[in-house]
Amino acid sequence: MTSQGGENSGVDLKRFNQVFFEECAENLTEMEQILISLGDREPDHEQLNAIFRAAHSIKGGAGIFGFEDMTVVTHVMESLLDRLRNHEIPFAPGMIDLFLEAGDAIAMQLAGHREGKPVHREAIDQVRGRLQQTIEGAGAKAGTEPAQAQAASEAGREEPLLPCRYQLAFTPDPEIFTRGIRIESIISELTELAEPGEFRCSAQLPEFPDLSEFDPERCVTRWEFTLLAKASREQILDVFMFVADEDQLRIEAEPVDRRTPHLDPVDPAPEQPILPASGRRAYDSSEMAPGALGRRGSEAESSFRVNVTKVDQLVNQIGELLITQAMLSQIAVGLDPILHETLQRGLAQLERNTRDLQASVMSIRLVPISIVFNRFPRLVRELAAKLGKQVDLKTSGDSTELDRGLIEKIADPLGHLVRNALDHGLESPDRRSACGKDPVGTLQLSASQVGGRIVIDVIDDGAGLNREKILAKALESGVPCSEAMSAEEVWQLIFAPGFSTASEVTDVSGRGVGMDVVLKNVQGIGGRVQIASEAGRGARFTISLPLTLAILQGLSVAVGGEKFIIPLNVVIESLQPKAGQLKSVNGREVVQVRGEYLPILKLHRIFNLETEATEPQQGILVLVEADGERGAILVDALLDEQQVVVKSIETNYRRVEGSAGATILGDGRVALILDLSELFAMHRKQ
Amino acid sequence: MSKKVFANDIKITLTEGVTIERANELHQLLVERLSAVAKTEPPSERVTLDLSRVSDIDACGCQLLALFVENLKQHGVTPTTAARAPITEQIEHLGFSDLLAGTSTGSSTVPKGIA
Repeated sequence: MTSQGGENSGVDLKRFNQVFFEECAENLTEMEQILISLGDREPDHEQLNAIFRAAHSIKGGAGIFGFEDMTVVTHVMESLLDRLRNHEIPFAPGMIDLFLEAGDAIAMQLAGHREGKPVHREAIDQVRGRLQQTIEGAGAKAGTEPAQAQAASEAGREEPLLPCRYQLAFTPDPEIFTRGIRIESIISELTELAEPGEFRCSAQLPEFPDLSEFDPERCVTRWEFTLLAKASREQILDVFMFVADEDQLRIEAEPVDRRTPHLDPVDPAPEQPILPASGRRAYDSSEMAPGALGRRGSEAESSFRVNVTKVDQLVNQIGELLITQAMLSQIAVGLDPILHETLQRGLAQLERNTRDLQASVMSIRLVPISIVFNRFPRLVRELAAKLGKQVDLKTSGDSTELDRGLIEKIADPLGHLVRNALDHGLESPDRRSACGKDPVGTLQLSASQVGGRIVIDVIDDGAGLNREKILAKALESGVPCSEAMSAEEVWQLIFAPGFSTASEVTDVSGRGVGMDVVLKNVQGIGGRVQIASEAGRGARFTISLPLTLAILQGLSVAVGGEKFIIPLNVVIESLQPKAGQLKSVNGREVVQVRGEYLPILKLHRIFNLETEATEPQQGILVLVEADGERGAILVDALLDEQQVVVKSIETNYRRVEGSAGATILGDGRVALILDLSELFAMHRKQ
Repeated sequence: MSKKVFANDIKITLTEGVTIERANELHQLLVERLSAVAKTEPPSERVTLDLSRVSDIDACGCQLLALFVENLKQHGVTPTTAARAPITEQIEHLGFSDLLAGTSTGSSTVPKGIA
């Protein structure tokens, strides 16, 4: 048969394979969610059906797209599920774990095809073998208890489906061949559904184009299938899930025990046009999303898949547009506003439109954090079992949206915090009971948007952080510390490289690497981690992240001929200080604002610039707040409030301490974007 | 890929895979063969489409052959198709038996292997 989808060099199948990969990942997630929600309970008929459908969709898609290896585990899994839902074999709680492992095996194969990650064949064979054993073992057991099995079967079995004669007319998308879809797999699946010898397939060419002008990769064939099957209409539709739109498939079903024909058309039109010019789904046909048939139909109407690189490209282009717009605005400043009134109006309009466009484009990249949160129920379930703890995982703010790029990078640090909370935070049920606590610990994950940032909390009601233990460990590890440190400072010690208080190294957490990596990863995406803890009551790890990394609203300021950008979300106010407000505390210059003393950060000194405004009275102080810390930045002048496109300075130059990146201004000059937290840290060290 | 011509009898032999990967190449070849058949004087009486050396065929390949056969018919030539299992089985599986049978009688099987 045709070569494997992934290896096919003649046709660019990658973009079509992508659709399958995404669908497959979604099916796996859905399967996992149902399995996790079960705990050790027996799934009801609906849940079994849902798991079966997910496995079946993966198998079908893998077959259609030529990933034969992925059909192996799914096939055995499907058999087991089928027997379970037909009550041919009894349910056992161990099956849940087995299905989860099977899901992992399929996910590994998926990652193998998708990202070229290694696939452990032994693991696949093992899972397949265990599934097979379960089928055989349970089958044999069921055989020894026929009366019981029969009773269960009779009690639970639904009315058997009556055989139906189905007539299908399938007018595929003209690009179905180039999408890498194998019609033979679809036909095979239909054959499997049909009663033996009760399947007819006929290909027809409703038009006969001139061969010389015909595009040989375009499909003009229409298929008609006639089959007698005990399958439901949904099962028939499922076969076409990845390949057909509603308007491409017509089904007529006629129960064989009744002679009155029962028409059940998907599309009431009696004849299908070969090239349906209208009525297609709302997706970009070049993207080739999977068919809208089946359970995902309604979703497909309101959304479509777009390659991430296309969105990234759009974001980049918006960035360039912002720079161009800033450039034009800057030029217009020098023009006579009366003579060029229309131009000025146009530019103002352009600015508004650009801003709106930017907001719209950025919103495309936003995805709900539930994508990450959904991974944790399983992790928690498995870890809790391993550690002999009882944990109730709660999530809130699942629909909070953040940048897709951030989602991918936050998953690992969050996972680490969750593992830590389970391993080190929550106590064993006995210990909890002894302390008068509920033996079931609570782990809460919550997300919310606060101003221009996303805040994610990992809260546990465990023992809290142990100050003495941390200090002792810090001393032992050579991390600088002292008894006089505030609680907040002590908690920060756990972020030191190589720090771990776990007396025993487990495979759960406490390998000595961890919290420092968490902090590094979070900081890498412009985030911060804060810790709050109360002995015996629990701990709260708060990660705060910027909404997006690509564009920020900034205040541009001048210092000695250079320009800097201060992120607007940290700016409180700006003022020209009077001599009476300026004080010196411990040799450090501070400004007194409404009774509060704020340290003065002199940018010209930090960045070693020549300027005339070396003293606070000569310039302007911009009051800022970051991570709960306040300060005043001395600048020569405030220039403008503008949106800036964040460019990595490390990629293009080298890392500059105190800066979170750089941007290109309207006049083509490069300006550093200030990282306030880092500036505060630098100021403290001075 | 080669073609053997015996006086007015034309035999078109395809080899290897008749699949989407080779669709353009096969298309070009079949267009050439079609034009050769059309130009043959006196008109060919027997055209055989020999698939006995084909290793693999898919829906795209079947469609291309079916269109080739239909175009031949428009030139007044009804070809005979020859193939061996499993190619005949694959053609049947894909529902192209009637279109590739080479006769207008609606026979549902492709004549198997010729010498």
